[in-house]
Amino acid sequence: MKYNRLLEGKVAVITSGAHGMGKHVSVAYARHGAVCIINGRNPSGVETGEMLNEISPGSCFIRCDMSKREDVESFIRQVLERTDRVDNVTNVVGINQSDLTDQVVDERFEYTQQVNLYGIIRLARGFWPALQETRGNVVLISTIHSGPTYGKNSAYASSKSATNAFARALAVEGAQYGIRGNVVCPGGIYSGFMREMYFKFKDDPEKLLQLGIRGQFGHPDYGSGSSNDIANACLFLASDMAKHVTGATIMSDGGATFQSHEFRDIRIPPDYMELWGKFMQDRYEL
Amino acid sequence: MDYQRLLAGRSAIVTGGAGSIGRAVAMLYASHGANVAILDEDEPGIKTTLRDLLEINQGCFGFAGNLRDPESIVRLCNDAIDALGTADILVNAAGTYIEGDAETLTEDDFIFMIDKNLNSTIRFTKAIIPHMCDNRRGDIVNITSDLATASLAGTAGIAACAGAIAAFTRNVTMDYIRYHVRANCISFPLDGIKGREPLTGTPSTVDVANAALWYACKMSRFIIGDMLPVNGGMDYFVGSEG
Repeated sequence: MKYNRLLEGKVAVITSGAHGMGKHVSVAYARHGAVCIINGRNPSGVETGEMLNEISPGSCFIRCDMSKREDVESFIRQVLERTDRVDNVTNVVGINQSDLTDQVVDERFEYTQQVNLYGIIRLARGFWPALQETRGNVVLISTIHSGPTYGKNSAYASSKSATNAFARALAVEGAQYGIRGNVVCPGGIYSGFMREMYFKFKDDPEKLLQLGIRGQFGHPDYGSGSSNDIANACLFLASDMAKHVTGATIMSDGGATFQSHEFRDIRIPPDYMELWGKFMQDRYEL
Repeated sequence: MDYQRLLAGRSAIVTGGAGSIGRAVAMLYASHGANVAILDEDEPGIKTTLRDLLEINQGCFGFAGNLRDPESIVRLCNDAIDALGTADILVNAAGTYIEGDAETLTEDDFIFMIDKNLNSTIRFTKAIIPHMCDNRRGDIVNITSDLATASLAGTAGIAACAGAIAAFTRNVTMDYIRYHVRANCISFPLDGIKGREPLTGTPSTVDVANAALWYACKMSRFIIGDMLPVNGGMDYFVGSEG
């Protein structure tokens, strides 16, 4: 096995692959030889598409709003017109709209489910014949909130928990065609906004706490994770290194979940959710 | 990151290194640039494996000793660390199993399995951890059976060991992560047990070795105290589809 070209000759579809964590995933895939077709809502993803095309010729960006069925279906058509094979579908797209359970409105709850869960179901359905042909695989990015979670998270946690179950069902069904399905559950990862805020306020612990950044997101004695850690987990699962790993749920959280008692006790600063919600809205406006 | 030399400059101890899984792990580690010491009971097996290892990497060693005896394990670890200089990866791949249920397995069968699988894992960890703490770096990979999470008739002894190894792995991480010592385990289906078929076909020792490589290198830096099933999806299929 060529470990520095783990995805040589493969075609990967990465949702939300233009920014943040998705960009790290698509760049890692491209460097390992995969042609990456990424999508995203923001048209500026074209720049990432061009960058990927330089690393791995044939890569491109296609605009797509994962919350809309027509958009997803048109995306699938466009991908299948561009390429004659799909070896991997990696679902990075995700949204968290923080609402208290007694206050959540149907539209917002449904929007979360559409983006986090329905999107990947539609993609898996659409690419199923292509994945059968290549004996390909699906990697889903979920979250540690699919297990233990905290408040104001009901829509997000339920959609992601369903994602994990979907991957297991997909693994069972896909096995006869050689299709694998796995989940990566990131803990707190500094990407995009959080990273920016961390470096901006790293000498001001109080401000960091206000922002919900505890300096690190994993085990208090360990460090925090980066998007590259998640990209490496996806790369492992997408490649033949994990040829017989299917239906697995990998906790890439620096130990946040197994020390579950301490995790439950984390005090969330009062304005953390507002700031986080604003950040998410900037990226995924309703 | 050079993915072709994921363990360049690292020192690894592989227990059960003359056995099928241990050998595959040692060979892959050596080809990724690690100096490897294999520790096993099987002297001729060590010789053969070591000869193959030395063809890949000159900095490899092999030591034979009783893996069920605490003093012998300490001696083996000291020999390995003297040879390697240090140890920052430990792979507990030694293990065995005897088929049977709680009634048919004798007291001696249970003790034999617990010594070889569980106690050896604990004892090797105990012996190597101080060196890892000194280095402020350590990656422990425990190979266990997927009977840690799913059950099958006639596997009482090995299932008990597998579950205990999984719990021990999490706890080692909990205690030593402050020294950046990580521990993870890989669950693998046992050979020759009838009744369960992996969905993706039977995984080989190379697949376990790849998972062990991933857990030992920086690719899995943020993953600690976790268990990766390399069992072809066996755990997730609960019955017939109707």
